[in-house]
Order: sequence, then structure tokens, then C-alpha cells
Amino acid sequence: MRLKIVDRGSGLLQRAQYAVIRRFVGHVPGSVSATSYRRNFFGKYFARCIQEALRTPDEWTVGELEIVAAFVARLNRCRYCDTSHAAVAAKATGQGATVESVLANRRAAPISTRLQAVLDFLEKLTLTPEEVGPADVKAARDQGASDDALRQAIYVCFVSCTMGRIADALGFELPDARILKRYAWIATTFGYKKLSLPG
Amino acid sequence: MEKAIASLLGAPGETGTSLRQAVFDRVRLRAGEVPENLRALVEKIADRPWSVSDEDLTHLREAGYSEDYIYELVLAAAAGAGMRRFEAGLRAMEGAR
Repeated sequence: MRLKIVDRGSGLLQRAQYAVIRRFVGHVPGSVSATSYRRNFFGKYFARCIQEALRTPDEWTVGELEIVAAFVARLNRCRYCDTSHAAVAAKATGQGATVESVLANRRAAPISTRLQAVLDFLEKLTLTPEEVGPADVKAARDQGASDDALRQAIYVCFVSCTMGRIADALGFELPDARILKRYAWIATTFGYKKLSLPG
Repeated sequence: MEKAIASLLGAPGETGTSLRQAVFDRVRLRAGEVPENLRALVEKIADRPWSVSDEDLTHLREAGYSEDYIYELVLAAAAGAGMRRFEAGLRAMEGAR
């Protein structure tokens, strides 16, 4: 973490919680410290966005939403978000090989044509947002994506593009395989409601 | 989302609200200007965030900017990039009605 103030936390309560997290997780995830530091400024509200985007399984399963987040992170070349969401997606779906194949070569991945079409849409939205147009929406609809499903995917794109940039700019510490498993368990068990910790 | 953006752009902070708005809009709309000494970091966060380095932040610290100032700058630029995509996606949906 490039900013010491963020790493340290905002108050005594936050620092005490960080000590517990360090003991049980191995380190304080950058996504926790970046949304907890001065949390009333942005982090508390942004953590709610993450929860809404990734834990509203009306149109997509939690596993699919996590795959979308990992896919967008891979396009953004954000290793922290890519590996973290891929681990959560693998845990949520129980199909780590499928998640890996989506990230490596999604055309060959065993996922629905609806999800394939929405990933096509999101690829353009993430890399060249000004080029996305009505024809891209229609192409996704033709493969069965409802407007609500598209809106949810766009929301995931918003949170992943925002958090990925915070992660890369602040230099979040990358979790190793052991810590990733803990991230995956925590995020599938509790979601992101407690991502931003009170200080 | 509205609360997150409203607070980010309007809450008191180390940076002025007009600077935060300028950084957010520079990344979100690719329009407007930000002060020259902050431009390099803002443009990196917008277009190639993976290339931000320790030196980029050290450089700003050495120029006299506090860590809180840099933190707010990073959040405004990052949220601008997210919002740019969110709005482009919804515009495309609106056009397909």
C-alpha cells in the first residue's frame, strides 16, 4: 500500500479490527483499508455499491456476477481484483476450471450464450466505452439478456473499473494462494456488507 | 451510487471540491483541465492504471502534497473512470429502446 495513512486505519477501533484481520486472514485486504479509511468520505457508500452490484442475484447468480467482476478486472489488467474475484467466483460456482477458462479464452468456456453476449458487451464498454451503442445492446438482447440483466452487468462494470483503479493506484498488496482462499470464503459467506469497517 | 459520488465530490476534504470535480470530469468526460503537476497521475489512472508506480506517488509527496490529498485525488479519478463506463452503458441501452 503506497499510502501509509490508508494502511494504518482511521482510529483505534479500526486499528484493533485490522490486528484481528491480520491474524486470521494474513493481511488486511486493500479493498478493506481503502474503503475503511475516512469511510464517510466515499468508502462506506462505495462498499454499499459493491454489495448491491455483486450480491443482488435477481438476474445473475452470485457466481456469474463474480465472473463478470473478474472478467472486467482482467481487461483492466488489475491483478488484485482479477485474482480476488476469480477466487470468489470459483468458490461460489464450485467450478474453478470454468472461471479460469472464461478469463483465458471465454469463447471456448462452458457458459451460457447469454453470459457470453454480455461479456462481449462489457469488453467494449470497459476498453472503448464511447464505441458502445444500441447495436451492442441488441446483440446481447438477441442472446437472451434482459434489460435488467444488462443494467446489473453495467453496474458491476462500474464498481470493478473504479475499485481496480484504486487498487492499482494505491498499490494493494497481492494475496497469495492461501490468503485468496480466505478472501473467497469470507466473500461467499458474508458478501461485501462489512467491507468498510467503522473507525 | 448517488450518495457515494455526491460525498466524494461535495464533502469537505484536503482537496477543494472544485479540484475533485475537475479530476472526476476529466476522466469521466475526457474534458476540462486539471493542474499540470497532477495530470500525469490522473491520466494514468484513466487510461493505464496498471502502470501507476511508487515513483508517481513519491513525486507528488515530494512536491508537498499530503497523503490525504493524494488519496482524494485517486478516488476522484477512479470513480470518474467507473462513471464514464456506467453512463456509456446506460446511453447505449437508451438508444436501443
